[in-house]
Amino acid sequence: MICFTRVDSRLIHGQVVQAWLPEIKPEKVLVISEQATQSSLMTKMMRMALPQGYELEVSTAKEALQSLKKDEAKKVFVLIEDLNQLLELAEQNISLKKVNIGNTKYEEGKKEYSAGVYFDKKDLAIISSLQKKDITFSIKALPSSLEAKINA
Amino acid sequence: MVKIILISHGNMAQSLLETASQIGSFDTKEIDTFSVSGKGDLENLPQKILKALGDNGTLILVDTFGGSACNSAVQSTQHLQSVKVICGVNLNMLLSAINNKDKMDLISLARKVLEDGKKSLIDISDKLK
Repeated sequence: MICFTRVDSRLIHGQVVQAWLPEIKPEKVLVISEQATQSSLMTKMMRMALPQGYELEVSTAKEALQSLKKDEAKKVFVLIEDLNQLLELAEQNISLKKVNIGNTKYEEGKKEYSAGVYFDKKDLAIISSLQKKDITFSIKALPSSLEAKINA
Repeated sequence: MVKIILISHGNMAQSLLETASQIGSFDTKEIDTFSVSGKGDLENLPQKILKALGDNGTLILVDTFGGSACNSAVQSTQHLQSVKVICGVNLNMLLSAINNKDKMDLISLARKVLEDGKKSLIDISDKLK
């Protein structure tokens, strides 16, 4: 069972470990990152950075449904690398409802919507298509941060 | 000389270097500092690190283990034996690195900086009881 969904290109790092995990108290963190599934170093670093007591799984968006089915009884924090992979999850009808956006990668031509959150037209199109599927978004770095608005 | 690179969130790296320069005598230009908090900083960090590497090994000091500065530094240099990354930098560690970078090779310097960092954590109130 998904208890929280966050998009953060940095995956497991300070804000997630220090602020979100104590707030959400999941049993497991499911990291959705194509590149992390291919890097044993990234997976090892994430395991080391994640405090003991939390289960960790690194998966591609394609394989996420299978993993979530298996974990229906568990509180799962889904941590997604980018909006494209979020879209892939939504397309499999995984129930996401509310998505927290913590950080997206900056690229030339992207506009800053909040500290560390950058979107281009393609990103806004993904957000708007997901909003039509009744998914709501909240841009927040930390639980205590003020929420930024998305004017898609 | 082992090259020293300092990387942190916010202004810590730059401020730590400025503070160290008020205590130790050295040329701050020899040390590179990078932040990961500005627009595009994290995305550009790997290429900045690779450009800043020294010829006789590089010691990268980062603010905190598991943070994005640490993750990026490790991932962009994992293929290089001439680079060591140490997390949790404090003023004592930076001064230790600066004072010993001309006298030691990378491996000994990394060991020394880590030891000096551990030694720098003291409950002075307890010790004075």
